[in-house]
Amino acid sequence: MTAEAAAIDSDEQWIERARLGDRAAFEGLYRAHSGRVYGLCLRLTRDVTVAEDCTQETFISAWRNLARFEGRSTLGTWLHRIAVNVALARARRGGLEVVPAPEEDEREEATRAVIDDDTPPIDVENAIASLPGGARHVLILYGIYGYTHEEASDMLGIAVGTCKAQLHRARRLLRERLSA
Amino acid sequence: MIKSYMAIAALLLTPLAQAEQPVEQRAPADPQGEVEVSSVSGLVSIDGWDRNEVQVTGTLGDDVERLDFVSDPKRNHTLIKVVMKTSSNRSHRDDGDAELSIRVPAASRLNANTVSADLSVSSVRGEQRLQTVSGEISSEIAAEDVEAKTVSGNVVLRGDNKPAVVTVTTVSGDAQVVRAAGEIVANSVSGSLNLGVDQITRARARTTSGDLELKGTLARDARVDVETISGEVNLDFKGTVNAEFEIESFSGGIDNCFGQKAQPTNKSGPGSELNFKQGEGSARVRVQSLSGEIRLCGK
Amino acid sequence: MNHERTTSGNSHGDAVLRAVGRLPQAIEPRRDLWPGISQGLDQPASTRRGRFEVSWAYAAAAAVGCLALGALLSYSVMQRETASTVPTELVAATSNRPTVLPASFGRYAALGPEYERARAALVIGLAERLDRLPPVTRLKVESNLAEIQEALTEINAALELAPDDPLLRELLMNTYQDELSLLVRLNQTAGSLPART
Repeated sequence: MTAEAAAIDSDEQWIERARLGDRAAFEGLYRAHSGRVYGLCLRLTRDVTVAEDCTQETFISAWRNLARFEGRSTLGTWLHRIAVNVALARARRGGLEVVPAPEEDEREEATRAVIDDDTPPIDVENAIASLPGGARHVLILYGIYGYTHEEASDMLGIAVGTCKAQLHRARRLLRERLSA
Repeated sequence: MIKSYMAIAALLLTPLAQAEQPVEQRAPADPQGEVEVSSVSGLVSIDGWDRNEVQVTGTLGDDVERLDFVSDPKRNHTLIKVVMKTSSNRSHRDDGDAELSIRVPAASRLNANTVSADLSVSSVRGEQRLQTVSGEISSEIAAEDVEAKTVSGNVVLRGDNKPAVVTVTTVSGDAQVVRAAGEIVANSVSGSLNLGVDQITRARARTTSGDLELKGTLARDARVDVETISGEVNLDFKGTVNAEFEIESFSGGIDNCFGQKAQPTNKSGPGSELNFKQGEGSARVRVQSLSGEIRLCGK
Repeated sequence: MNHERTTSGNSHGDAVLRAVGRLPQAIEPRRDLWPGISQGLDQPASTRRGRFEVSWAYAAAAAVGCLALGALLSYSVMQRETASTVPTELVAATSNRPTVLPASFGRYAALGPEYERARAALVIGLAERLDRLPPVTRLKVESNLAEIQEALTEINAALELAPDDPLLRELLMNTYQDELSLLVRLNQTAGSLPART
């Protein structure tokens, strides 16, 4: 059995038991999926404390709605859907786009001409965090987490065409910011 | 906020004599660079053009210390900033205004803020972030995101039905959005929101007491969320409507011209709710109010 | 699609997307979040959307205005001294505009100490910041803050009649968030204006 298939098997067993109120089983699901949920929350919200809240809210909401999980997608995708809703609802209600601090000028000496396989991950993360909201969300879902345009647009509540346009924009802005 | 630049072309005016001074400055600019404008009172008018150049013309009143015009080609950034005299140096007459007319490459990204100066933008196709305290904001929506924020100024944004993300935030100012398309997020406390959006994919609008009107057509998977405490809500959807509606008010009335009637909620209160599906029900429209009246229509 | 995405994202041969796709999907939180989740499983859902408590950390962070981008990967949290150390008694003492900001929140709001600290921090110096606004604008802002307070009073009064109504609870929480957002915006906007003489 491949690692992927084994993971799905244990998810299914845990879900069955969690649905019956088995909290230890739900904790197992949490342990298995927390990293990917937190990773998504952190990149969407760009704040550690808010991402922690978002992660907690996601799993609490998942517990309350386990009966609605029908297995049409994987549990991880379902959790991501919830996480996207939680993170974006917060950002929308807050009415604030919190802009990260501009990059320090010390990096001027270490500019690079092209983005390549040696571009440090932290540079890529910082550049993604500096993108405007719509473009950033699409790039995170499509580029990091591998969702299709149809899946990403559904999660974000936008049209597929908008999703593709936002991705195009994200790639262009990222190319500019990493080449500066 | 702006740190040091690699190559700065800074054109500073010398301190002004006691009279209104004309101003004219220009510098080359990247066609898709960022232009940042900051002023206090008077008028700021920004127009896109087809030259790769930023140009400022206008007049500066007595209370203006200087105009900073800083161009950084390396970062594709141009800053235009009105700097006022400190209080003790001001004449305190009513001619402290700066009236600026700014031309920018049409595809520029624009970041403009004023205190009480009115802000008027046209023919700019890049992303816009416009902010005032009490100045009026007027702009056009092209295909990129537009964000307009004000405390008490009014906002008017005009689109041409091209999809974009529009965000409007006011406290007491009224906001009007005409011929937008796609996504809109609008918030106000007491200002009224009058939103015209075509092919709505996502709309979120909230007021505390301001009235709220949303008119347009729904995209297939549209999500609409409207909430008010005591403002009046009018939703008017044209064309074919395929949506599930969830409408609830604690003490306000619900009027629905699709036909279905609101029912009293089975809770201990005067509230009413209305849940129904129109057409295929692919979109979702949710409206909540405390005491504001809700009117729902589609033609 | 019915497989877990263990492989990196979509790249289609594009250098930018390849670089993005190499980023790790999973990031471990700096602390174990399970205790908070476990506690939350016990609490009843108090709104229709299933949210049980709103975290005000986001607005508080913006208010103090120092989000460090480095926190993204290094998990360092910025200092929120003003938000964490101001006692709530100071709120009433420093607010000299009686219509604006009473220190009590009504008994239906599960706002939590974080919200109260964030709000208290924003109220400190609010009068001075309001003074920086042009006079007509200041009056409008004060009137709007009073409108939000009126809305909160109305909702709380309605909750007396229907304490379990999820609509009311959601409206209440959203209105508190509106007030906090307004205070944050005032902090930022007026903070960038010079003091009036």
